Amino acid sequence: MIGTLMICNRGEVALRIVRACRELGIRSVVAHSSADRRSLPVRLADDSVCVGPAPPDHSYRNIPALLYACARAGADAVHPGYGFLAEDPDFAAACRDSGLVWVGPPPEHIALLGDKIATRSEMRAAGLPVLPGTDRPLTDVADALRHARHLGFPVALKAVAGGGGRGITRSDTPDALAEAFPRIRDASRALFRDERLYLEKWVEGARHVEVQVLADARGGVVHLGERDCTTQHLNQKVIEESPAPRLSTQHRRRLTDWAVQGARHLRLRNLATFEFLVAEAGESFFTEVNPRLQVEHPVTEARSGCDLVTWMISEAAGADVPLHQDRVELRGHAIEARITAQDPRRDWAASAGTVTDLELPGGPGIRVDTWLTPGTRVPPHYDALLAKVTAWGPDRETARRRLLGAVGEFTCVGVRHNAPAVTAVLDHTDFADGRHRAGILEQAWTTR
Amino acid sequence: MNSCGDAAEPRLPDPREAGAAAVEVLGEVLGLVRPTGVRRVRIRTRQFDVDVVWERPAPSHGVAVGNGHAPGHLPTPVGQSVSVTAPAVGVFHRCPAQGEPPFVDVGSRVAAGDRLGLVEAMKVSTPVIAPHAGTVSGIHAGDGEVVEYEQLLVELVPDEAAPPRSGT
Repeated sequence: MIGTLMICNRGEVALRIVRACRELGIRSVVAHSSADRRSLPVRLADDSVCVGPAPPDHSYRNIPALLYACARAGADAVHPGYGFLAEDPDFAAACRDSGLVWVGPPPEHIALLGDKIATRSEMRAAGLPVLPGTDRPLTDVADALRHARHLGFPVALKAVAGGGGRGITRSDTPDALAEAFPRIRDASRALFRDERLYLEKWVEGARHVEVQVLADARGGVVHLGERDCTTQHLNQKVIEESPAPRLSTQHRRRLTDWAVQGARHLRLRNLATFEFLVAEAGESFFTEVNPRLQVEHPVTEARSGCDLVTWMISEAAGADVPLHQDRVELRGHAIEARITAQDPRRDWAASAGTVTDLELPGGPGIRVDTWLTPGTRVPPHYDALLAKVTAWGPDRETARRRLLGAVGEFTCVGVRHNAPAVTAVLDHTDFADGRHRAGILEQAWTTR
Repeated sequence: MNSCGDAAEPRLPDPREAGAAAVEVLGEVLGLVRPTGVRRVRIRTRQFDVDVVWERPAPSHGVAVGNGHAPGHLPTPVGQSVSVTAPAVGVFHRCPAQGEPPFVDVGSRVAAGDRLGLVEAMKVSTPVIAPHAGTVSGIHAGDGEVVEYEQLLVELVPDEAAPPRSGT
C-alpha cells in the first residue's frame, strides 16, 4: 500500500504521475526546483516541496535533498519519471534503504542495464541476437583499431555507461576512429564518470524498434507490442508509432518474443523497454534495455488500453496485478509527436521564454500531454519537451491524418517550437508510405 | 544504437555523490575557510563537486525585502520586514548545539552577518545569516523541522539607518 507518492521530476511526466495518483487514491507530492514553483504539476499535486535552485544537480538530481523532501512530506514511495535520476541505481538503492517504495525496476537491474557491455553478455546468454561488437572495454586506440578491422567499418564507438543517444559516434575509417577515440573517452568521463568505451558494428539505414515489457513479482512477463522510433533528430526521438510500419507478422513476433525472453532471463520486475535495430535487409539486433517509463508510453497506452503509470505504481506497491499475454489486445494504430522548444528555422536552437498564448489540439483519437498553460515560463535549465501529441486511429493512415491535423492546431506563442518540422515529416511521402529511415526529419525539413 | 533520447541534459558531477569521506574533507575545508569569510569555495574531483558560498546569501534566495513573505508562501503581513529563507533543504536548527540557547528569539537584536540558525543536511551545516542589522520579529520554523528550499524561516525588522548588507 502506498499512501503518499513523491514525484521526483517535472514537466509533463510529473503531471502524468500526479494524475495517475489521483486515479489510484494516492496523495501526490512533487519535488521541484525554485524555477518550477508555479508550474502546472506543482499546482495540481496534493503537496509540493521545493528541493533547490534551478540547476538540476542542485535540485532534481540532488539525492540528499530529495530524501529530506520525502521525510518532510511523509512520502512512502518515489516515482522518478524519466531522465534525471530514473536510471541512477544509487538513488533507487537510497530510496529502498530509507524504506521508500521505488516505482520501477529494482536498483540491481538498473545497475546491470546501465552497463552496456554487461547487458550485451546477459542478453547473448538469454539467446538474443546481440549486435556484433566488443565484449570487453577497449584498452586503447590500437585495441579499438584492431577490433574495428575485425568488425569492418563503419563502426559505432560507444560509452559503456552511455544511453539516451549520448556518448555515441560513427567512424567510417581507421583515421576517424583514431581521432574519435580520445574525444569520446573524455566526453564519456565527463558525462558518465566512466571512461570505458566499446565498439559495435554500424547498421546502415536501420529502423529503431523497441518492445514494451511488463513483469510482475511472480515472474509473469508480457509484452504490449512494439514502437517504431525511427524519426529522430541528433539521436533524440521525435515521432514514435505502433505498430511498426512494414514489419512482417513473423518479424514482429520475433522481436516481442526476444524481449519477453530477455526479461525472463533477467528476472526483471515492473516495466522496461527492449531496443532493437532492424536493418534494411531485415536482420534484427538487440541494442539495450531501458529500465524505466519511456517518454513515448502513450503510444502503447493508446493501442493496449493499459495505463502504464498506474500499473507500475500498483506493481511496485505489491498489488496483485496478474499478467496474461492472451488478455493483451492491441488495437489500431497510434502515432506520437514530441513538440519541443527547438526552432528548426534557427538550426534547432533551444528556446526558453514565457508562453503568452496557447491553443491545444483536440478531436477524435487525440491525446495531449503537456505542462504548458498560458503564462507558463519555460526555463532554460531543462529538457526541451513542451508537449506530446498522440493520435489513435483504426489504421495507420487515419492516425497519421489525425496527428497531422492536431499538430497543425497546436499554437504556442512565446516559445519557438519544432511543430513545423514535425508537420513536414508527417506530410512526407516516405513517412506516409511507412518507408522512412533514419534521417527522415532532416530530409523532410530541407525539402519541404 | 542507443538512440532513445529521453534525457537531453548531460550528467555532470554533482555534490550528492560526495561520500562519507568527502563530507569529512568538506568539514575540514569549511573549518579552514570559515574565519576568512571567503565567499566561494569550489572543490572538484572525479567523484564529487562541491560549491560553497560563504557568509553572503546568493541573490536568488536568502533575502526578500517587502511585505514579509518568501515566494510561494502565504503572506504574513508585517510592515517593511525582511524575510530570511532556507538556503537548502534540510533540518532547521535554532541552536548552535543541543542544550545551548537558541541563536535568536523574537525580539533579539542582530547585526548584519549574525547567525539566525542552521540548516543541516548530510552532516553539512549551512548558516542562516541576517542580511541586515535589526530586530527579529518572527520565527517561522520549529527547531528540528525539515524545511524546504527558500522556506521562510525568520523575519527581521531592519534598523532604519542600516543599509542592506552587501559585502562579506
